[in-house]
Amino acid sequence: MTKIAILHEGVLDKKVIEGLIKHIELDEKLIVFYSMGVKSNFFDKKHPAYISLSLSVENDEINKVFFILDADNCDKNQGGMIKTQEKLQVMIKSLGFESISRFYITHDPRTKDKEGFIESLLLSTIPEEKMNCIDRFLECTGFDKKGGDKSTYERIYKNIAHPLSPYNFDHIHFNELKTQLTQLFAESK
Amino acid sequence: MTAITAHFLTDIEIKQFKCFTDFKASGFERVNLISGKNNVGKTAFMEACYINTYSINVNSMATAIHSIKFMRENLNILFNGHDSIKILDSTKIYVSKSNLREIEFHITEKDAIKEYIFSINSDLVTINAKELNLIFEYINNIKFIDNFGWSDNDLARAYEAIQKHEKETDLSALVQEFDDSIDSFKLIGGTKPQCKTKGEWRDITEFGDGLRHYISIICALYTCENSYLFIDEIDNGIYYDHFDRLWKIIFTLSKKTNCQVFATTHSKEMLESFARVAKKLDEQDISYTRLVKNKNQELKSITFDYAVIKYSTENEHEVR
Repeated sequence: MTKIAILHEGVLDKKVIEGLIKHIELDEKLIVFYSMGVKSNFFDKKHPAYISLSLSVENDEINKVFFILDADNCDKNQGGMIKTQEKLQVMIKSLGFESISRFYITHDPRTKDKEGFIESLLLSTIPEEKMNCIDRFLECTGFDKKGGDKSTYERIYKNIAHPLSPYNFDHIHFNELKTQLTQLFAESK
Repeated sequence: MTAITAHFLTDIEIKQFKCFTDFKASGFERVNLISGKNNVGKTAFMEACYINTYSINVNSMATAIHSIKFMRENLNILFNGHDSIKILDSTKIYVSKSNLREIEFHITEKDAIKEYIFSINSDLVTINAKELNLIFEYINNIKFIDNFGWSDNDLARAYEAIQKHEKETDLSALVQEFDDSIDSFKLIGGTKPQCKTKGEWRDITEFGDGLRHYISIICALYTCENSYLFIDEIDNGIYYDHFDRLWKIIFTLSKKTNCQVFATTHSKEMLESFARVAKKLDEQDISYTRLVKNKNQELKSITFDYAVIKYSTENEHEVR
């Protein structure tokens, strides 16, 4: 059975993707996850994940590849949507995966420059009144939104913002990711 | 590659042999595990590597080609007798090129003249069938343990290396770790492998096949010093609880004796154990090769080095 590779940064990305695939009723058995650990590993051609993946692609075991990684903030090295996208496209080309790849760069859709990470995307999907409270809370406590710890976002989301259901996959902010995944599965057939 | 490992087979192209045509595999290290589905050609792949490493001259090349068929037909030969030429004839063609040598064997029949053609690194030898006089030239430190296991005689010959290295006590200790009811292992009368249990010497045949296989592998690792050991179906008869111990022995002894090991398996537990023990011992001179058929039904190889094996097992990828 030919499979689809999904390359992600950490555990949370994998958990969200798994949940989303179930939510939109795609066949999760077709997925092979490749954990890259941190964003910089996506730009290391010699990373074991790429070696393993290239061999599997060469032997027709994998026919589609999906990259999901954080945009991060513009002031960071390789940060921001544009820089991340440019660098990733160079890597995809050097791997020879242009015709079989799709990618999604996680960010907070509310930001002007499409900055952020998976945690801020999740936080952007909670009801507006709650979000305003949290924004005010972060502002009052002096939390540095750009340089702040991503796990704090995750903790806020998990414990304060959305205690009843894990993720609000029906939110409009998940639409782009859902479209990418649906097209990926359709192209894999 | 350092001088000590200069003899290692690192890559091979099997141009023609059994199920292989223009097949390439590379990236071999000191200990190499080969896997793949049933009938994909794991044993044939090992045979191809075995013939290439064995072919230092025409006689040893003919011996290797004869041996691979002889091993597989052991039981039939026992009952029906054998004709060495017929056994050699069963391999119609063998062509391979490795980092060690380029060799070719084929049989031609034209105008009622049958000829055997041997070529090693372009040195061509053509022998008319009527003049063929098979001279077996065995290389004592290249061994192949097939899935039927070794006979008492094979084991007795390999045990000589244990004696030469004065490792009889170590071997008995390893046997005891394998089965704590066994106090000691010895070759009684030079040919009879026996185990001492409850103060009594008993023939090895009274124990499971796994024990014979385990002892054969340890003895072979000493025998194949500075050379090669091929083990078909390494997990044969061995309970999975012993896999980690076996890999630890193989990693440690192969390093000590500078022996390159090739082994096949289709056991998931064996592969997991291979990766687990390598990681635990930080044993990086390993490779894992999977034989697969692509969508065009062409046979291909995928070879993982230590970093990729480690990554794949940590990410729970199905690598069989």
